[in-house]
Amino acid sequence: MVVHPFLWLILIPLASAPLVYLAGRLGGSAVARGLALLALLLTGAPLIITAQDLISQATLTVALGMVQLKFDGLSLLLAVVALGLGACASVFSIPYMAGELGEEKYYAALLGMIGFIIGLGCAADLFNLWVWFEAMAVSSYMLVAFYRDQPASLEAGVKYLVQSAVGSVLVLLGIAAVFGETGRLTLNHTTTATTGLLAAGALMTVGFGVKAALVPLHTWLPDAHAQAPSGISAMLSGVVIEAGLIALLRAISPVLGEDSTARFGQLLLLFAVLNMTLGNVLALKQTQVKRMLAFSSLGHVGYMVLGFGAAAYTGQLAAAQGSMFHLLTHGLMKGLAFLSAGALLYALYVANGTHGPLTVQDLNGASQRYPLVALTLSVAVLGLAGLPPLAGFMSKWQIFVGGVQADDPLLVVLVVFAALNSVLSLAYYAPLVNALYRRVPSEAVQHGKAVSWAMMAPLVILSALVVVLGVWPALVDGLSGPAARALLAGWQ
Amino acid sequence: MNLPPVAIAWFGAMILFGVGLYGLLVVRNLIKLVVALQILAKAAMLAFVAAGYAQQQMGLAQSMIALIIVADTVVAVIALALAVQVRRRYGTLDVRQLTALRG
Amino acid sequence: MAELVCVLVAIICAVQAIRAERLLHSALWLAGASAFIAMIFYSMGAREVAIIELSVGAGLVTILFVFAISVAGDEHNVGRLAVPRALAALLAGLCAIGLLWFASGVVSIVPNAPQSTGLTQMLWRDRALDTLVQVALVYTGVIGLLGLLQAGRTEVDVHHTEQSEIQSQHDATPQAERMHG
Repeated sequence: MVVHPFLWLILIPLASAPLVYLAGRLGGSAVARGLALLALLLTGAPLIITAQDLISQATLTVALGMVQLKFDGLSLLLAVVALGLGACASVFSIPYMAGELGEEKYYAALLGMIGFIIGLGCAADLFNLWVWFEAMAVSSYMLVAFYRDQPASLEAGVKYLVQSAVGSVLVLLGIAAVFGETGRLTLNHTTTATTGLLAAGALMTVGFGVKAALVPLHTWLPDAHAQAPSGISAMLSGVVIEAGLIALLRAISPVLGEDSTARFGQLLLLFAVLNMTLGNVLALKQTQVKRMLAFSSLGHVGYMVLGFGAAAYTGQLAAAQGSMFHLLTHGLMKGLAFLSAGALLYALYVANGTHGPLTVQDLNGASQRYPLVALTLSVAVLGLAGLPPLAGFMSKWQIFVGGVQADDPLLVVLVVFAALNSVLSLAYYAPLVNALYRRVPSEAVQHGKAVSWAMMAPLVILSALVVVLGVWPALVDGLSGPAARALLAGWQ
Repeated sequence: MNLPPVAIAWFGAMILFGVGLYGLLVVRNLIKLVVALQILAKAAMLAFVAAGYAQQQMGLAQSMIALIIVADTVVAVIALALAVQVRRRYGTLDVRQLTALRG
Repeated sequence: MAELVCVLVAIICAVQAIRAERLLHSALWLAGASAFIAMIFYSMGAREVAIIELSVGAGLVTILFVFAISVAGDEHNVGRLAVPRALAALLAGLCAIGLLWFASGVVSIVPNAPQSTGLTQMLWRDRALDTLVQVALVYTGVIGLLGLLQAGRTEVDVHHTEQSEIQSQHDATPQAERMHG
């Protein structure tokens, strides 16, 4: 068997996960941290090689027995986001998680999660896709409930586990139905629609939809994303729900017949409306920063689903490409937002030995003591709101343009609706920025501790990327274009 | 009446799924919630046996079921560990008393 | 006919597992359901996996439940439910019937006879990739389990609050304000 470089992309994180754990047990948590970072750094090399290989070939395939792994544009996008954000979250976690009990398990599970997400992007077999998906879920359960002596975080963990497990069973029933009807498990083959396949499609939509936080299957998300350690919140919001969405879009392909792709697109558009509305309206009510960001993730899943739905509905490549771009920029912006909020949470609460939710009021005047973190948090939330020179504007713009280009009245209405939602979202992002730049610092800020450089470094890198992609969006066309083409190729 | 085995297994899977779903909705005890999750997983396994039988690919179905059993046991173990921790921190296994997070 | 009996008994066991008042009984009923499902597997030609289900599903999982119950304590929670029973039954019934209706296409395919191919060959050669990912899943799960079970820093302090919480269990409003971000 030829070991293609892209296999190393999966193998290095997965193989180093138990090593990090063992090293942490034997040599202390400093060794575990160092090894985890080294592993992520090493994974960068096969990523670059694979990306170069992908320029000349559309897909790279490795077969092991009857199961194949296919690395295409979409896999590359997911791998870039997972690895990039994972590295940022790991560096950020070094000071954030220092001294926590079970640190080595934290890094081991995080590495495992990154490896599983990259693998999920490559799966070319329905059941294999489920195995990756389930493995990703298993690695994230402990991370969500990491603060196991905090009742709130245990509660979030319970909700997350139960809903994920039910979703996973629904996916399995869907796979069984596909297998029973067609006898095949490969993705990307055409079928004629039958009621059995329709049921399979519905089951898989609901099952993966739980992980992708499609409203009304989202109830676990605000708790899990708000209660997890901040580095994990960034990963969950920036990569894991998107991975769930990609899994859904890929898994649905063997079910879609010639005419049912458009109907699936309509279903996605419905979810888009629900997600945007509920996410933005509920975010307005939140007083805790991380909870607000979690609800805003629902809205942003809505924008992505809008683009994918429009692509399925009309066959428009541009809309799907916009969504892929938004998947990337949302990962950067939401990761940055959660990490910045986490830095403030650390400085104001954790470093003082107290545990408390970071509220918007706590942020008052934070810019005076933490000018850099205040700036990065502002860049993140203004980018999420879609203000022009930032990445969020460009990616939303691409989705909207893609939607309008299809020249379908329904899509035009939905694009206007999404644009209005985007304006509405300013109503909760703006007070956040406003609070950061108030004159009088809150009591929490006055007693806050310093933020270390290891926490700042990922924040600076991510905000630079958010600005650069806003000014020069064509930079990642080479990433979002092939990803959209790979997705649509599966639906043909 | 002479139902073929595929139909029996498939219908059985769907009914078990209904029973598990009912359990999830009415059960208040965290450990019993895990029991309900296990019943749901059994429904999925049964569905795979039916599908494998129908397609005469029992080897393939078997390998998938074996993997489902293992994955599901891992999830059950983690869920039970969570339940034990909840009992330690809350002093109860009652799901309805997990009320730290609202809104 | 054997399959029909086994399915019916398995369903009855599952219902009893949900209805049983004591957790231990619930776990034992679940083991029963598991055993009868294993019999269906066996009679439909899934021989190897029947053995696995019997040993893991009916054996290991039951031991885990008994272990968890012995650590966490057997309590049965009565009182008002979030979803009324009748509504829950209706919802679950509708879901099951809907699935039956839509997915009944599968059963229209009538095969000749069951055939059993080697499971080991399937697992280790044809679908080796699934198995390898599964290995990673298991060790990540074990790391997660160790992480969850590791005693927290505030263990001593918690024992104290646990005592007081048990005493006032009915109006206990657990430490809602001690939330973490």
